[in-house]
Amino acid sequence: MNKKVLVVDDDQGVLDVVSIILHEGGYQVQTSNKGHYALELNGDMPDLILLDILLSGEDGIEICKILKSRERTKHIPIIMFSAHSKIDQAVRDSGANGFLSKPFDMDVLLAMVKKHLRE
Amino acid sequence: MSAELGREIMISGEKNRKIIDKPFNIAEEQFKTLFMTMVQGVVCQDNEGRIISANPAAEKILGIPLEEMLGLTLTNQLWHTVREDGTDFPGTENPAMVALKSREKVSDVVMGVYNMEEDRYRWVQVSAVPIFHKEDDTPYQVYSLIEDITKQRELNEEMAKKNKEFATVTDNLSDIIIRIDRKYGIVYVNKAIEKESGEQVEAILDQPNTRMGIPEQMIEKCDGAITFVFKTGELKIVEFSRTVFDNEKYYYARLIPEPDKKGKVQSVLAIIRDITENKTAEKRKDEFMSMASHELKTPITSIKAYTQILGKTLKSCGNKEAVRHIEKMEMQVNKLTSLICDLLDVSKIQQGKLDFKPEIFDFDKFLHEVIDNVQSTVSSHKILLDGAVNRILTADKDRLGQVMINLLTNAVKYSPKSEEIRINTESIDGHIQIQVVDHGIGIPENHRDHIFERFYRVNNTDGQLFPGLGIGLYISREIIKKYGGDILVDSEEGKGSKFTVILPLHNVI
Repeated sequence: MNKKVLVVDDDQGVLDVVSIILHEGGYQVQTSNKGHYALELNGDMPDLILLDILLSGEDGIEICKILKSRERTKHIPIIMFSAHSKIDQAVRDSGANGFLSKPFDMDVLLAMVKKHLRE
Repeated sequence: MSAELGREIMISGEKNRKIIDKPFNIAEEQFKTLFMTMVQGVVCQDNEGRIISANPAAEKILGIPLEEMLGLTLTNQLWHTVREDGTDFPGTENPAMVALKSREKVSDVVMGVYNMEEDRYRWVQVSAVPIFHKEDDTPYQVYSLIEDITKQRELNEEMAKKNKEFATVTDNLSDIIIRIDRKYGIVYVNKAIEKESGEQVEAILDQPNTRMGIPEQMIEKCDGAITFVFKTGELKIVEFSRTVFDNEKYYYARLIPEPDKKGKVQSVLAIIRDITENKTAEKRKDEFMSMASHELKTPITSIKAYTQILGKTLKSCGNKEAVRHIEKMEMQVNKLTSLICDLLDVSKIQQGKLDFKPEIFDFDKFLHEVIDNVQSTVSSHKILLDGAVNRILTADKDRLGQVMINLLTNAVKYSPKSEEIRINTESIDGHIQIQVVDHGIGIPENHRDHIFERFYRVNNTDGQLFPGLGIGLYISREIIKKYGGDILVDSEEGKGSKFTVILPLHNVI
C-alpha cells in the first residue's frame, strides 16, 4: 500500500506539479487549497502533510500548531514550505518536522518526504 | 531767488563771524581743537534761534557750509526735519527752540534732517542746552549737540529686516527648530512647535530655563544626544519616534553645536523633521517588495518543478539535445529566483529583518565549493584560488556564499576581455581576508564611494551600462557588516578591481 501525502497550498499550479512529482515518486496524493481541510481530517489519515505557510486568509503556522497539539494528528510528520527562503523562529516553534523553501528541487522534495516517512 | 538769498546769507555770515570769533579768542586752544574735530555736530544759536556758530561736523551733518547757515533759524526750509514716524518736525519744536523757551536742557531728541548736499535725510539725536548770563534767568544762547545716528539706524533697520526675514522663514518651516542652552532650557523655538505640542511659542519662551511646551517624549529621546553635542561639539543625528493618540510618529533630528569664540558649546540647535509620511511610505514599499517577491516565487516554483519533470522525461527518452536545452532553461529559472531573493533581501535589510542561520563549517572547503559552483556556470573565465585560512567557522554559510558568489559574478561580468579571476585568502591579525581580483574595466573614481549604495549603478565613461539591479554589493556589505566586518574596494579604470572582504574572526568562531 502506497503511503499517502496531503498537500495544502492555495496555489493550484503548485498543487498540480507537486502532485505529479509525488505520484512519480510512488505516493498517493491528496490535495487541498484550504488550510482548514487539514484540521477537518477524519478517519483515513495521511502519512505526511506538506503545508504552505502563507495561505490565503489562513496561517499555515497556526494550522501546524493545532495539528501538532491534537492527539489524532500530532504523530503525522509535517513539512512546511514557503516562498520565504529562511526559517524564522515562528516556523521553528510551530512543531513542523521540516522546512522547504520555494522554489524547490524535485529531488530534494522527494528526499525530504522519504526521510520523514522513515522509508 | 536762491542766488540772491545766498549772497545775503554770506554777507550776514561775515558780520556774525566777527562777533562769534571773540569767545574763541579767549577760549583755550585745546577747546577749539576739540570743537573743530569732534564727530558730534555743535550748533550755537542766539536767543532768537539764529545760528551764530557751528563746527565742521555740524556742517557735514546738515549738508550746508557754515557761511550759508549763519543767521538762519531752524524754521528755515533748508533743513526740513521729520519725526521717526515720518511726519513733519516743526522748527519751533526743535530742541534748541524748546530749550530757549523752557530754559531747560532738552535731551536726546531723534529726528531726520534733510541734507541738501546728499539729497537724503540724516538721522540725528539732538540735545540742547540753554546758556545764561550771570543772574539772568533768560537764556541768551543755546548750544545744540547733534549726534549723527544714521549709520546706527540703518544697521538697526537692516537687523530688523533680517530678523523679519528670518522669522518669515522659520515661522513657515514645517521643521521644528529649538535652541537649547547649557542649562537645558529652551531659548528659542519656531512656530512649527505649536502644531506638535499645542502650546504657543510665546508661552514656551516666557518660561526660560524650562522645557514647558515641548512634548516630553521628544525631549527624552534627544536628551542623550544633546548631552553628547555639548560634550564633544560634534553634530549628531537622531531618529526617534513617539506615540501621538495611539499612532507612532517618526522624527529625524539634527543636533547642531553652537560654540562661542573659545569653542565651548553654548547652545545646541535642534532641527527636528517629522518623517512619519516617509516612514509609512517606506514601510508600505517594503511590504510590497516582500509580497511581490513572494507572489513571483509561487509561479516560479511550478515552472522549476515542471522543467525538472520534463528534464527527467526527456532523459529517459534519450533526447540529449532537448535535455541540454531544458537544463539551460532551469539555469535561467534559478537566476530569476536569485534575483527575486535579492530584492526580498533588500527589503528585509531595510526592515532590519535580514535573517541569519548560523552553522559550523570549514571555511576553505566552503570557498572551494562556492568557486566550483560559480565556475560551473562560467566558461569565459578561470577562477584561481590562492591561500587558505584553516579555520572552522560558525556563521551563516548561505549568506557568506551569497557574498562570494556576488563578488565572483561581478568580477566575471565586469571583465569581459579578461580570462582570469583571482581569489586570495588568508588569516591575518584576527581577521579572515578574502580578495577577489579581476583585470576588467575598473570603477571610475567618482563612483567608487557609491557602489555599495542601494540601487546604485555605474555608468562608465563610454556610457556603457551593464545589466543588473544595483543591489548585489549593497546586500553583500550588509551581510559582512552583520559580522562586524567590511568590504573594501580598490580599483583603477581600465586596469581592474580588487574587492577585499574583512571578516573579524571573533565574530565567526
